[in-house]
Amino acid sequence: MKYAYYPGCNTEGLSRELDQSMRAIAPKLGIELVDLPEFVCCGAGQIREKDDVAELALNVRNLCIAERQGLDLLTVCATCYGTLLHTQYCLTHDRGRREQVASRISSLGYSLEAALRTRVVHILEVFNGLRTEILKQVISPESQKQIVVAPFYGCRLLRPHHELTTDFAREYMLESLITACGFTSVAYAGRTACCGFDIAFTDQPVTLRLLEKRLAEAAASRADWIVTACPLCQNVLDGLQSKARRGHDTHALIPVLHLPQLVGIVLGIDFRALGLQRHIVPVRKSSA
Amino acid sequence: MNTCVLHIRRYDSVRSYWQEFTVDPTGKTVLDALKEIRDTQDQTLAYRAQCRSGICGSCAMRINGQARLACKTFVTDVLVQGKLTLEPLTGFGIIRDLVIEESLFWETIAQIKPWIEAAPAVGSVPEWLADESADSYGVENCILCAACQSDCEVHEVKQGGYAGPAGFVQAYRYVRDPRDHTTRERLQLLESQGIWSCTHIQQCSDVCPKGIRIGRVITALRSLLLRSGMGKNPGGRHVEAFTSGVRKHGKLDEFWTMIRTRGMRILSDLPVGWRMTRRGKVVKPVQRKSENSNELKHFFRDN
Repeated sequence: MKYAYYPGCNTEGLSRELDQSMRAIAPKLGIELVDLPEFVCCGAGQIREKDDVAELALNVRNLCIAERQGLDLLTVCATCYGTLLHTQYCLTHDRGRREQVASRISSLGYSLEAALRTRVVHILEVFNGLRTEILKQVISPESQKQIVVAPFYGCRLLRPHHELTTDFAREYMLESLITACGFTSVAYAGRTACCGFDIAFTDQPVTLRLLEKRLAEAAASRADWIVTACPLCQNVLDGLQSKARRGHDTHALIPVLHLPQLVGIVLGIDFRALGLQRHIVPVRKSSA
Repeated sequence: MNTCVLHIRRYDSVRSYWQEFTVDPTGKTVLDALKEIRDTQDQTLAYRAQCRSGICGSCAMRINGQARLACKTFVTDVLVQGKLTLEPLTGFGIIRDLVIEESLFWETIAQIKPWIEAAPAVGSVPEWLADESADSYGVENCILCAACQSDCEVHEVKQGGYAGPAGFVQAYRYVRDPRDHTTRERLQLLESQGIWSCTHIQQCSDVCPKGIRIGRVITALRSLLLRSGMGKNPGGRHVEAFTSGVRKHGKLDEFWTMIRTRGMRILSDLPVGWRMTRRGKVVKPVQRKSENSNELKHFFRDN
């Protein structure tokens, strides 16, 4: 499987361990990642608020770059995924926007048709298709069963429903993957809820209250770890966890893993190669 | 007979509990089932309903954990393993069973001033707002059922000063009405009503029984704020800093976006920052660059 690899800005910066773990596990699962240095930021729904046509144009460019290689675009970030699909939705359903986007970029050689031909894939879909392959490679299924993992999808992977093409949460894709990796998955209220990342810099008290709820829900379900399909969710669930849980038992802090790290652990990849030492809430080497 | 079990959250001003009722779901809406229970099994069951046609918005309730209109939802469409849970909307007080205390909701909506302030003179409407061809995202169809407000997680945890999705929908309706001449005041009002606190969860867009694209409404309102020179706060600064970094280099400039957004508040982030630095999570002031990013200037509007 060969993909145009779109890591996203957060994955290339603050969440470098996500990129690192993705590159570490890819060869083990027969995934070939093609780097395209022309890729630009997806806009993350932020640029849309300044200039919505510009955000669409940036993503048309990204989609066209993948299309020139004849490859599907693979992302490890739920936010990039949602923003890219939002672009394709607007190109298909909103003639006004389509014309505006075309007028800004067509002279530069990008075409809307090419952008619509590219399939956008989130890593969760790829792992889901590789469940049996992962199951075969799991190194120590018995010890892993003891570890309880709470799935956390991330809003952009799920909503708005009409813009997306796959219903990850209703198909329990994250839960199935956790089980395929040999861990025990828990059902809990927060799985499809909000982490508050978007306003972590602008209205942090609200972010902290949302985080407190999410972490309390995960703790109540006796989760040892949380695994998330979005690096932005990971940033605040991990980075702001002790702030959000101030006053609670600090021993009860819950490590928050990126999806490829979870898979990497069961494939027996080295702790540091997965960037697990970079987490703020430490992941204990013995359990990993 | 085909049967299913409805788990209904009851409240009688003293205690709150779940009660099960068995009904035949065939061809029935949730509202039909509730009426049947009240007519044939328990006369004390309380719920609100009026038009039975998805117009009045009275019968919004949480059906299997999601806000929906009872009159528009067929039981068989939402049953999970022969069961259904019915609860009152969240984020409001409860009067009895499925009947919520609505007064706070109406107060919030009233603060948005959902009425037209007549224009005093021709030409007083800013050009960019008088553009009626701009998408309305269906705001004129709002029935004020409060489903979006119920399922908005920010509304649930933010203590006051938040108009919520229902308030933003009303605001957009009057902001884009060319007969209204108080656009600037309306936009200013939104800044004190939490417009920059939305986290884009998009739950509102998903639960709206009228299909209003509420997430895009909020985006459109924020755009109008920025274009009219407002948004001089962390929310507005974040969008500006994010955009200018990408415009220049094609990649998010994490360092300067964070500094420009937080301002002096960055000092309160130092403990978290220190913990991250110790783990090697450092945001560097050196900007990464995409190849051929110089062409990106053509992608953006000039102002």
